[in-house]
Amino acid sequence: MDLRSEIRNGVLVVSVQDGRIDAARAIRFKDGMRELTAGVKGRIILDLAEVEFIDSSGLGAIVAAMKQLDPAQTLDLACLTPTVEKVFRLTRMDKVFAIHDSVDSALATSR
Amino acid sequence: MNRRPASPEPADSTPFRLHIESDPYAVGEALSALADSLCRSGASAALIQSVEIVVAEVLNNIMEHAYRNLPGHPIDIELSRNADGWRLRFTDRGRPMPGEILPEGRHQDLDVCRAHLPEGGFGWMMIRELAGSLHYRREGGRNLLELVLPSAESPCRCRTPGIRFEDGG
Repeated sequence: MDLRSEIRNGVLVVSVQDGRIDAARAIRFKDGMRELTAGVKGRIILDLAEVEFIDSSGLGAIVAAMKQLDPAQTLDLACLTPTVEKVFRLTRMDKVFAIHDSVDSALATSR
Repeated sequence: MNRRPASPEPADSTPFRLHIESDPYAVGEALSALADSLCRSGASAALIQSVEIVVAEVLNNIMEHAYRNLPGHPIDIELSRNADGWRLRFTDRGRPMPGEILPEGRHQDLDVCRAHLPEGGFGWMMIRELAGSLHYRREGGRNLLELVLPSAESPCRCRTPGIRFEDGG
């Protein structure tokens, strides 16, 4: 699971470089997120623009990635593609996560 | 072991048939093959999304529970159109559903603190949300699952490389 990270406006932005987060990739995604977010302060934005598909395991891994954060850290999502958005809507997880149309709009949103 | 699924039948008459062997990476290939065939046949984008979600969840369930994550076991998928929408049939030779009934897939309480959010239990919830009808039976050592996805309206936007789905284009 290729995850790229950069600091933008003081915020960690993690971009998933894989078209899928599914049962075959969920554990590697969760482990990768743990490594990248360790010691980071405050807000983290997960850019899902390249992810065309997630299944229930992938969704669970994103939830797990949020749960493994420190209490002072938060995880926002950006750039959900249509099928990914549908998975969040069907499971009502769109009410749990702050979801932004783009990384720029996520960065422009104050917390 | 051959990981590549057979190509769906290209004929314009349904059904599409796919045979795969249990392997987590076979799911993505099966979904791509189904989505490409559906897209070429003019299925709606919403229908293709629903097929991908449902097929992924059913296949994951078969591999994890019916075949206990053991590779190389057969799974057959058949997709056909009927008056109510699109019918999907799955056949495997693994263990039966516990009690030979389908899981309920209820929505879970999400109004909880972060530490208590569920990390699983979404699969059957999504299948039940999307399927208009859903039937399971055990027959001759095989699990047979059949469901119908109601037809949807919007046109398909094929996944041509370089075309992004979000706005801004």
